[in-house]
Amino acid sequence: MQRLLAEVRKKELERRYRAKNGLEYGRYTLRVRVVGSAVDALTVPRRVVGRDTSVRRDFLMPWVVKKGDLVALGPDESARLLKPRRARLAEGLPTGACVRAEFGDVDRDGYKEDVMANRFARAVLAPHRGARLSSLSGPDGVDRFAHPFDYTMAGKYILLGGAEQLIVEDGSPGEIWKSEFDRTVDEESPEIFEATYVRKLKSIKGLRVATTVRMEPDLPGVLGTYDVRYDGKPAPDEPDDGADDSAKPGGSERNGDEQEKKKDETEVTFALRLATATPGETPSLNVFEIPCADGVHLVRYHPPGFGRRWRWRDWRDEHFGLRGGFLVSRNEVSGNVLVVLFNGRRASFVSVRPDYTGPEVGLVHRTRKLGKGRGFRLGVTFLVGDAVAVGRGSMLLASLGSPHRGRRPLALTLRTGASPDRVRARVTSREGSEALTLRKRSLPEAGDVYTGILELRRGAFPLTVSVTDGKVRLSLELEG
Amino acid sequence: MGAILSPLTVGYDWEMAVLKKTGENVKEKDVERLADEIRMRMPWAQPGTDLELIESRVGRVGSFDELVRKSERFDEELRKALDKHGWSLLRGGSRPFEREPVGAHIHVGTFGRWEDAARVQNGMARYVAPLAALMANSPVYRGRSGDYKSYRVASLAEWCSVPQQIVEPALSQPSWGEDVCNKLAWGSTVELRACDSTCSTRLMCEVVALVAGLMWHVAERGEEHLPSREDYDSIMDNRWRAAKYGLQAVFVLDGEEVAADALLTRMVGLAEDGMRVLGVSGRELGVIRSMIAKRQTQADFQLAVFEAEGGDAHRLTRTLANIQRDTKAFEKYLRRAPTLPAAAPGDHAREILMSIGRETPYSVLVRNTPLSPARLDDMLTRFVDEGALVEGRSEMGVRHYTRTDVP
Repeated sequence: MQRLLAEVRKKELERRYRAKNGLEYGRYTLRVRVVGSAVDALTVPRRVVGRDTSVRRDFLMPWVVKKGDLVALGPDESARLLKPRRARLAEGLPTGACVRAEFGDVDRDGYKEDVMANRFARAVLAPHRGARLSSLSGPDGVDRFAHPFDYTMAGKYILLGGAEQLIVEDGSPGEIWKSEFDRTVDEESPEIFEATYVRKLKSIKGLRVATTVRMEPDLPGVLGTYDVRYDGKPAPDEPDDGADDSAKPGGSERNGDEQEKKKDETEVTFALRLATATPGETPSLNVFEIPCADGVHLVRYHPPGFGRRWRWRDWRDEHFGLRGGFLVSRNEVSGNVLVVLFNGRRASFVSVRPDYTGPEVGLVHRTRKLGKGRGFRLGVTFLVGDAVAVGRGSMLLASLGSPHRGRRPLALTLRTGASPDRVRARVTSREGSEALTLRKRSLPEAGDVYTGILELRRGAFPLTVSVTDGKVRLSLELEG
Repeated sequence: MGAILSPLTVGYDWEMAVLKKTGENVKEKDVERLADEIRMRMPWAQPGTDLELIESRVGRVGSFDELVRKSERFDEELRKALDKHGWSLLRGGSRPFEREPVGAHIHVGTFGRWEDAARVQNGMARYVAPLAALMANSPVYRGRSGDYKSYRVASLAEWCSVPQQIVEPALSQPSWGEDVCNKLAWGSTVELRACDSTCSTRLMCEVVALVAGLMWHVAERGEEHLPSREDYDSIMDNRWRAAKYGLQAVFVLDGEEVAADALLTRMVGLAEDGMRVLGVSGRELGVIRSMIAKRQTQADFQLAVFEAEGGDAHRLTRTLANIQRDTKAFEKYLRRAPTLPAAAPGDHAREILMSIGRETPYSVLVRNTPLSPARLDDMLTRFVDEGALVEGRSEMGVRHYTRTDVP
C-alpha cells in the first residue's frame, strides 16, 4: 500500500454543500504535484516525483488548503501515478504440471514483483522490500500471510507483512526489511522458476545476503535458501559501497590494522519474521502448531483488543527444543494451512506473539560466527494446503490444486523423523480407496519430505488421507 | 487557602505529536532535539519527551492567568521551532494511523499528607467519566474508527490510564498509571491521567482549572469518598460510555441517570470555590460551556474532517496537521457546529460478549474493558449460565471462554 505526498498547486471550488451532520463543506478539484513518498521509510520511483495530477477533495469549511500545503494521496490516487494501468498478469493458477512466472507490478506500488504460480500455489516476491515473500495463496486465493502495515516503531519500521528476513545483529529494525535487492533469474531450467536476490548490507560492513526462491511444477509452495556470507571488513583505503561519508581513514584505525586482521569475524543470527493469519470473522480460529521435545505446542491467535502495546517478554512466547523442523499456521474452520519447513538442527527457537497484530511468528536460527570469506546457507520451504495433521515431529499436508477437465490434483507432503525411501498413503472417499506412494525428496537445506500427487474425480469429497507406515500414524480429512 | 490543598497549584504533562511532512511521527531523537531547543529559549517551560512525543510542562502554577499566559507562550515558541524544522504539530488523543495514544495529564497540588491525597484520589473516581467525555479526542486510532469517540480511553490508553482502584487510604501504596493517581511521593499532587490530549490551549487551561476546583471541592468538603460496589460498577460503566459517546453520553451516578452535559454543569458549580482560589470563575470557562451546550467534543470535530477525507486515516492526519496551524480551530468549529442529541447507551455486556471468539483468555478480556474483574466474572458467569459461552481452562489453569455460536 504505497502512498504519495503532494503539494497543492491550484484549487478550484466545485460547490459548497451542507452535509447530514449539519456542517458546511466545500468540494474542490486540486491540482497537485508529487513531492515524494507519504511513507518516509518506503521509497517510491524517482520518475513519479514532480508529476502533476488532479484529485478531488472535500474540506470542512473554512479549513481549505492553500497553495503550497501538503496533502496525502490515497492508495488508489497513488496507484494511478505509480502504475497507471493494472499489470497484465494472469488470473488464477495454471492447470497442468508447469510453473508460470511473471515480473510485474502486481500491487501498483511502482516496483515490480516476481509472481510465480503452479497448479497448487501462487507466490509473490518483492525484491524492493527486502526480497520478502509477500504473498502465498492456493487455488482458493486465500493469502496465508497478513499485511498489517503496522507502524510499530515511530519513524523507523512498519510491519509490512508476509515473510521478511532479518539479521538480529543488524539492530532493530535493521535495514533489510525495506531495502532493495539485486535480482537475477535462472534462465537455464524451463520447468522451474528460480530467482536470486542479493544485497550487501550497509549496516554490517562486509556482510552479504543472497535469497534464492524456487518454484517447481508439483510442490505446493516455494523453496527458499538464504546464503549469508562475510567478505570481511573493507580496508581503510578501499572504496566501500556502503561507506559512511563521515569516516576518515588513518589515525587510530591504521594503527589497529594488525589487531583487526586477526579478529576479522562477525556473529550472525539469521531469522525470519512472518505475519501469518488468515482473515475471517473470528481471528481466534487461527492457530499455530510447533512441535517441540515436550510435545506439540498449540498457540491460538488472540488479536489485541486495542493497539500493539509494548509488553514484557513472556517466556511462553518462545518455543525451544524444536522437533521435526516445521511449524504450522492454520485456520480451524476454513482449513487454510501454511507450513514452514526448516532444518531443525540449525534453528534455535520459534517465537509466537499471539497478541500482536499480524500475528508475529519468528523463526530464529542459531548464531554463527563467520570469519572473513566464510558463510552459511539455510533453507526454508513454505507450503500451502487445505488440511494438515500434526504429530510429534511429523506432519501430513494435503494441498488441492486447480481443477482441470473434471479432475482435481491432490498433493500430499509428509514430514517424518524416519527416513525410508518411500512411504505409503491411502486416500479413502465415497468412491473407494486408493493407495499412493510418497517418494522421498530433499528440500534445499531444510531436510527431507515425502511427496505424491493423486488426480481426484469430482465426486471424491469428502475424503480421508492416512499414512500408517512404520512409526508414522497420521490421518486427515478433506472436505474439498 | 484550604486546609488540605495548601497552596492550591496546578500543572500538566501535555503530550503532543510532532509530525514529519508525510504526517508520520518524527523519531525520538528529533523530539529530544526539539525539547532542548525550546528549553534554551524558555527555561521555565521544562518541556521533555515521552517516547517520541513532546511533552509540554509549564511547571507549578498558582493562578489561572499565569497558566494561560505560560501555555500560550509555550505554544507560540513551539510552533516557531517546528516551522524551522518543517514539522507539524498534531494535538489529539491518538495519531490516526500509528502508535500509542496521546494524553494530557493534569496535576493538582499541594498535598501535605498521604491519606488526604488518597481520599481525593478516591473521591475523583466519579468524575473521571464526565471529564473523559469532555476531552474525548481520539475517534480514529491505529486506522480504526466508528466505535468510540475516545479509543484512548476505551483502550485504557494502552495501559497508561487504567481504571483506578478504590483504596483504603491508610493501607494504600504509591501506584502508577491509573486514571487518578496519588502522586504525593512524586510531586505532592494528585494526577488525573484520563484526558485525551487536546488541540486547544484555552480548553486545556479551562479543564485544568475545572479539575483543580473539583479536587479542592472533594478535599475541603470531606465528602464520602468510598463508593459502594454498585456505585463503583456504575463508575466503570460510565467510563465506557464516556469513551463511546463523548458528551452525548448518559451516565448512571448514585443510582440515577444523568446526561453528561447536565453532570458537567453540576461539576462546574461544585468547582467554583476552588477555581476562585486560582482566580477564575465558572462563567469564564467559555470553551467548556460551549461544548456542554452543544454536546460537541474535539472527537466530533475530527470525525467531521474524517468524513471529508473518505475515512482514510493517513489523509486525515495530514489534513489535521494543516488545520491545527489555526490555534483557534476548535473554538471556530464550536461556533459552527450543530447541537447533538443525547445518545441512548448501547449494550456494554454484548460488546464484551462479541469480543470473545474461541478460547479467548481471561487476561485478554480483562484488558478490553474498564469493568472490574469481579464484575467481569459475574458477567461471564451469567453468559455461561445462559449458554452463550463455554468456559475452559488452559494447561496452566488459566480460564478461557468460547462463544457457542463460533463455528
